[in-house]
Amino acid sequence: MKKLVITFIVILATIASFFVSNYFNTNDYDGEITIIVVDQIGDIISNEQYLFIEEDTLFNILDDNYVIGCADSNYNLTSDCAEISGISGRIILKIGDIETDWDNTYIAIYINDDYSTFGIDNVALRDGDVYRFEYKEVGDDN
Amino acid sequence: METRKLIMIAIAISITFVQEQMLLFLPNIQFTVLLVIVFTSVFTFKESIIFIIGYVLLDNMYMGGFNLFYMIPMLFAWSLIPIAYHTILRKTNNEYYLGLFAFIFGFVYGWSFIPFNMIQTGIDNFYIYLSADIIFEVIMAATGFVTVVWMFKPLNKVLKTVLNTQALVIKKAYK
Repeated sequence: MKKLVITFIVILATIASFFVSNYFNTNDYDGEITIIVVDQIGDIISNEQYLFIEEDTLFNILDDNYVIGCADSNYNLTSDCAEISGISGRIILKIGDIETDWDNTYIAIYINDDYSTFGIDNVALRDGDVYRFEYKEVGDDN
Repeated sequence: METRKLIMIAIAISITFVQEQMLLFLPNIQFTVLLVIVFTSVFTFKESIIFIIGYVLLDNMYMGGFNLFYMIPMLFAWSLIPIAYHTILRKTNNEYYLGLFAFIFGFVYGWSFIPFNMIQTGIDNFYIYLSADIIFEVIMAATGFVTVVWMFKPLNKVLKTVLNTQALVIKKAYK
């Protein structure tokens, strides 16, 4: 019985931590965001504003407006981003002409100039925020 | 080292590796922490370290092409289990103490990669790694705790029985 109660508490606390994490990471009701894409030489190749509603995700907005590619289970580039799901979420390897290989290069996400601690599927959309996607080489500073 | 122990280590590596590969689709939900603790409880310290080196080498050979930025923290983190078991845990078989250790280990395992990731990526903001990985550490900690509390005792008993029976058979055959 003691074992069962402790197990129940641990599982409950784990589930609760997911809810708390999601609670503080929700979209605004609606608004406008800016998406900036920076290529390998540091040039801004796209700087556009997009309207969003609560149900949108950063991935959906990106997918609707750019040609994107994601990492498959072996971290190889695939255009079937919609097919990839799971708790870990998607990894963007390509936006337009910018293409990365994950091992040596990657696309970093910055939210209002801060390095994002969330992946593309978990970034919350906030009115007025600027989302910058920047080509990076592994080992570069941020 | 006895041949029987050598075979036991090889089997332990195979079991740990195969279950990890089978559960790869679930992030950080696996029996690896439980199995390393169980095998450590029946192996000596030296045997446990050989088991961990074998498992880490096999895992890295299959998954990541011997990337030192993953191999070194993995070796360090998994070695903490036999080190702790033979020192601070005083070879306890209490599933609650071991469960608590497995819970803490879930976080320590994640943290051990941070310095190496900082070197590899060049991103030197410690907080980014800490916050980005926390949810996966919580999953690993909870999985470690629950599996150890429920499965350590029965698995430990089975392994000890197997080892004792084998020793008895060998002794009788020798006589």
